[in-house]
Amino acid sequence: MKRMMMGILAALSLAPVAHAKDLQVQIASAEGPLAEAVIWVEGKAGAPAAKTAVLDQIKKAFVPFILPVQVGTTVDFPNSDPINHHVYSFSPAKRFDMKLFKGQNQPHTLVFDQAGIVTVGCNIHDWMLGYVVVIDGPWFAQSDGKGEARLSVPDQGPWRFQVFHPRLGNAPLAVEPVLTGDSASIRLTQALKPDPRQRRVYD
Amino acid sequence: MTKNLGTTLRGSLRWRIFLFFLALIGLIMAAVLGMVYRTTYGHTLAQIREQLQAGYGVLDNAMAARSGLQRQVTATIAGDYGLKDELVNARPDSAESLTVALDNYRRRGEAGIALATDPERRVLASTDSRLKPGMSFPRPELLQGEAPADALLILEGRLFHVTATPVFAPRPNLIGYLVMGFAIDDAEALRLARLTGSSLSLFGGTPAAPVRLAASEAEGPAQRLLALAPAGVSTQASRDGEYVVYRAELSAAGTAPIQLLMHRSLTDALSDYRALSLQLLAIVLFALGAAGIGAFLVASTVSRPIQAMVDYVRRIGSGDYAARPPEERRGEVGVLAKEFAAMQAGIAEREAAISHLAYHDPLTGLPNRNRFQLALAEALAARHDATRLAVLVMDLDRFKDINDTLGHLAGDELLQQAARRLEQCRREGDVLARLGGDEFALLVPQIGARDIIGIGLHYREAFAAPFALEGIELEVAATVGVAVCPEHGEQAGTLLQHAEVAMYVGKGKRLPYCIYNSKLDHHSLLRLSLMGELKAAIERGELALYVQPKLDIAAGQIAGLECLVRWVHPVHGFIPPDEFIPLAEQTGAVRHLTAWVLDEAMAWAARWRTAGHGLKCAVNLSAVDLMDRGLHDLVEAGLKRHGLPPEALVLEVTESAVMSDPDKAVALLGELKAAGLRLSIDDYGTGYSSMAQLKRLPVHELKIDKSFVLDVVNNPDDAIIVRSTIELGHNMALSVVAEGVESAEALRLLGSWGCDLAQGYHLSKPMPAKDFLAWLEHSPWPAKGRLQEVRRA
Repeated sequence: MKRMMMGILAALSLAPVAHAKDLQVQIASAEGPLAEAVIWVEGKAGAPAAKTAVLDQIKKAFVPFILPVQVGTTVDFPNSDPINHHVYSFSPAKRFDMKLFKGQNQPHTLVFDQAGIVTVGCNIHDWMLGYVVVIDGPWFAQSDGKGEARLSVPDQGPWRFQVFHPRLGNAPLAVEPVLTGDSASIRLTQALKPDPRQRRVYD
Repeated sequence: MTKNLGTTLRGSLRWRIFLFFLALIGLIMAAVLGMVYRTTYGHTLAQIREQLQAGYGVLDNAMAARSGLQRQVTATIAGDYGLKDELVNARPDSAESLTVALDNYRRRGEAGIALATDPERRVLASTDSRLKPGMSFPRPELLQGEAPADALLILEGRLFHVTATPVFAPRPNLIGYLVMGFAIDDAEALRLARLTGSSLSLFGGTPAAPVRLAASEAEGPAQRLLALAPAGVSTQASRDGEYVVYRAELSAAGTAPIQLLMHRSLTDALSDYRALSLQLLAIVLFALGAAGIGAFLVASTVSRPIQAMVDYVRRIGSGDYAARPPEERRGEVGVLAKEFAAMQAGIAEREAAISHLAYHDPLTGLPNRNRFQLALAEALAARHDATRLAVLVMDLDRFKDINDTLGHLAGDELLQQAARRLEQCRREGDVLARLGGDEFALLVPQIGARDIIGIGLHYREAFAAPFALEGIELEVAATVGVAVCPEHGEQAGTLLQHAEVAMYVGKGKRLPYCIYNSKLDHHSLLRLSLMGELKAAIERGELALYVQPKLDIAAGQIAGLECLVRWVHPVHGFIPPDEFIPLAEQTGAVRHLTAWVLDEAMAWAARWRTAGHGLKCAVNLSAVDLMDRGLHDLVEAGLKRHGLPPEALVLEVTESAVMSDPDKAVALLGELKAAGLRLSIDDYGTGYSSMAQLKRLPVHELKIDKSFVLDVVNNPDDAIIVRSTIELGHNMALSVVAEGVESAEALRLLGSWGCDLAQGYHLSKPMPAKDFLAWLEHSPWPAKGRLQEVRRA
């Protein structure tokens, strides 16, 4: 949690200040505020900065559950568990598999250089599920527990908003927020899918 | 005969008891066998039905278990990273690596087929050539959801139990589907059949046109039964026996339901009981045999004492009164034995009494005719050639008169006295017997030639002294007839008969005794036999009615006729009435004779009346008839039957007949006269009747005996008698008839004396009744009735 907060802070601190402005975004569904949703606006802003992010494995779960990164970001898979993990993804945006075996000093970083949703699993622990949302641009943010996020956007619109959350589907969802000054409200009308983490693992 | 009867009885009783028990046991055994079979059948049927139902449950469970196992296997394989890797990398046009991997997983999971599709359900790779990469999976409905699903699937005529599961990498990231198919073939059907304990078949297609998919048996009635059986358990008869069938439908993916048929042969199941049935049958047969022996023994115990009783009773029946009853003291047979012993004593006693009765005369206590004949036969058998044997028969003279005059009691008393005297005279070794009536017999077993007369005289001595009867001294003589063996016969019957003949001859000749002589025999025998034949002669129509006309002298007309009887014997020819009528009177046959004559006479009288002649027909009555109380009724009935007035009939009685019992005779004649019949005194002048007696007789007519009339013309004495008799008759207001008128002179004389009627050869000899009308036609005298008729006309 600490690291996640640090990651978010890092992302926020590294956002370009010039030619941009921040929007206070609120995302909610019929069930209420939607946390962990990745919200972004399409568009690039100069050369991407070399960035790093961490997708840890803690207590046989990926932490964070959803990790938004900009294209070119190096993501570290440190394996904080005392057991072996074998993370993999068959997502077209990033196909990989990486054995995070204890006691073997193997490399555990990957560069995500293609935009897309990368679903990450563990070949040893089938229920482990994580997402790396690779966005081609710097304009993204992630909602907190209240469904709120501070999203930097280019000064000039129009903005094409995208949202990703596994409860909304496997692909990003284009949304039209209600903009009021510096705040944007995203009202999701569709029914949410069950949270994949909360489901009982079949086998 | 008796033996057979006994055997039959013994056989029947024992056999009946024996067969009864045998039949009873047989029946019970049959019932037991039948019930065992019924119960066995019902039980077996119910058991098989339950088995099949349970079998279906087992099958269901097995399928479910297998389904779970298949899901696990499939899911495990679906979770395999290598598969996921291959699946993600595969393309329909380049899936060789995936195909090899699938085949590997198929082997690992012991599945029949394995295939993988992409998330769009297009086949990527398959171990079965029938499902080619690039084609859509034929049962897309199986490839849904997030959990494994399974179904029965027919692929190209082969049945598979398929399990499909989505492949996630990771969940919920669907990267494709994995399908594993487990073949349900004959081997699998056999395995399931063993599990359920019944034959098992699976059919696809439609119920009307089933297609065999798998079966535990290569051949069998399954397809036929499928056509017959409804869903669920049922019993079906097929041409190869009875089956219990369970039919169910298993839903299949995309096709009509699969028909599941489980069956068991009831016939085979029952055959398991065949050994039991055979054992039971053996027990039944043993029980039958044992029971049969038991029943036979019981039957024998029952029948043995009865058989002893039968033997005992048979001995009694044959006259062995010394027979001891069987030693059975218990039960009914014991009681029966006791009763039989009592009966035996009773029978012996009664037989003694009966045999005494049979061989003794109850009146005199002497042996009777039977006993005498027996003794005679014995004596004849014991006789030596040198010895002679005599049979004496005697009867009392005038016994009938004594009996009639003094009554039967006096007659019996006389017989008893005579018997006592003879018994006193009886010499040692002689046998005395009463043959019947007043006839006694004596058997003298040994006699010298010269003793014969002496013996006769010796026994005749018994009658020398007069008998005292009712205070009267009565002289009674006896005639003795003697026959000697061997001169007069060697048979008992012959000797007795000859002695009787000798006695009759002696009586006729008024001899004190008479020794048999073969010359005596013919006449006597004829007489004896005729007595027996008379009644038969009447029935055979050997008697003929003759008539002799009576002339009314003054009127010169035929006034009537006397009816006479003639006997034409088929062997002896014409027998004169003087011969057989006295005989008939003696034997009592005269009643039949009188009845016959009366009936004939009235029949003819009726005929002549029809012809116009009112003639009076005269019939003779004997002394016996006059004693007969039924005579009056007989006459009345005859008159009625023939439609005659009483005056058409004249009854003639002789003086002597009336005098034998004048009171009775007078009473009867009085009755007849009162009834309107004419009565006539016949043979007047031959008896000893006094004028006083004559006066008492209620008669109309007096017939002068022909002995006075025959010679009336030449004999002055007869003329005086006839003439005075005529006058006497007239004085007593009787009409007078003269019999034996043989000449015109006699007729003239009689007419001059005032005689009313004449009868005799001068008019006509007696003639057959049927000739009378013809005679009348030619006679110089007309019939009286005819004139009356003419006058009336």
